Amino acid sequence: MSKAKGRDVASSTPGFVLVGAALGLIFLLLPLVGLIRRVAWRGLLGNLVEGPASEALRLSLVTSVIATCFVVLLGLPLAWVLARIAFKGRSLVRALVMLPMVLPPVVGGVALLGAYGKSNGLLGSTLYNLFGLQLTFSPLGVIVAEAFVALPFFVMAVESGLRSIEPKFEESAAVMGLSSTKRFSRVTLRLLAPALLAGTAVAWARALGEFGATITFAGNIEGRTQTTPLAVYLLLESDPEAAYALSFVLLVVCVGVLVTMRDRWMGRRS
Amino acid sequence: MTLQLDGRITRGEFAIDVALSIGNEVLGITGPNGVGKTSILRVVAGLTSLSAGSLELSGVILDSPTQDIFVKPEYRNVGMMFQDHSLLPFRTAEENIVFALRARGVRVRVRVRDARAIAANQLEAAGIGQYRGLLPHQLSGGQSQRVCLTRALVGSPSVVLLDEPLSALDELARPLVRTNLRAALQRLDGPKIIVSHDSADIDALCDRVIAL
Repeated sequence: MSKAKGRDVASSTPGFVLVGAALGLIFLLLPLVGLIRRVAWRGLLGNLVEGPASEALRLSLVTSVIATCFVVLLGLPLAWVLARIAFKGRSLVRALVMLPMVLPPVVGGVALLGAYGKSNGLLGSTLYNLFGLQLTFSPLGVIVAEAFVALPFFVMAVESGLRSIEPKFEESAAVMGLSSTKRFSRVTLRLLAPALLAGTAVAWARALGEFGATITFAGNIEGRTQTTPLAVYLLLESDPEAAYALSFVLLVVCVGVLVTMRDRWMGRRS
Repeated sequence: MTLQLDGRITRGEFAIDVALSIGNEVLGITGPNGVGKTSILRVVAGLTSLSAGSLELSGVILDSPTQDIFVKPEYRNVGMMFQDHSLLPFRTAEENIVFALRARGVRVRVRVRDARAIAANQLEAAGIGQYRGLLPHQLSGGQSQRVCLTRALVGSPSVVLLDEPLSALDELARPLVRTNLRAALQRLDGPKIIVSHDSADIDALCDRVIAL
């Protein structure tokens, strides 16, 4: 009886809360409606496959996929160490890993210049003098900027995924005779699959949308470092139809990522 | 084969000293919750290490902190059944048995087809053949427990460790499973330890009992 009463009290929401929630929702949705309304549907495909827009889309796709691979390769070990190894200063390391998430992307770009800049970079001048490798103003620089910004999102998702795996599965696999490498590939990775998928999706979306660090570090060279977000920004002046078409593509991709994530949030099993 | 455990198990603030010698027999361990029954099984399996003393199997040292020896669980050839069922959630009942058979057969390679046949046989013998294609979350507590039990006994382990093996079974299924388990344990050579709260199970299955 008291339980039912408690539920009634908790669910009797004051009117002003509902009004606030509705306003919040409208605030978030109105720009999306505005964007979709401005999309020129008839010329959509034409706007995407021609000129700077198609160049930007192609470059974005290639760089973001490579950056995501890079993120997975570096992020999985990082997440493992943060989740599974207790060491002194772990929270400090975690905070440092998460820093690019809250750092203004422009500052990230400036920091990348400090590290990989051709003339004054910490490592950049060595890379250039020894291998002739220049990251700034090159597609490689785009990849580095995107990976730098996306990595923390992946690490966060995978670390929490690793923490939620009950030890009994890996323990019983060990007792059955599987080595640590085989336990990792045949048990842990499989249990981690939903978190890996979610982390990869969100990191990819983040890489695809990267603007500030890219323009600061890699520049804005059409066909070389001008990714889709940079192209949207420039085209808004010269060719608004193309800008809206590109924005619409990014929006659709992000909705797709959210759908992937929702399956994870709802804990759906295979 | 003789299992010789003489040592101290530390879990946080709490420590127990254990001295056990188990030959070719089934040893029952009883006692209230939290005295460290499961910890003994974990030490034998190699999931926890001793803080002092030693663990030997037929004269081979498996764990000895003073001599800095610790044999990893994957090299101990132990068949263990965990209290909270640890079937891999993404594999069917049969695939879980196949997985164990193939994992155990690292030294002698077991082919998938052979492993499948053995698994199907064993599940049939355990009276749960009709559930072999189901995933763990589709099984009842008793069914999944019987799969775990089957899994712990396949592939001729040198040592068998069972943690509350029959606790999830209803009174109807229990006597038959108990009889089958007794027979299966007798067929296996080596030390076998059963942790249980149920005195009827202990009486029916064990050659010797110690209370912690």
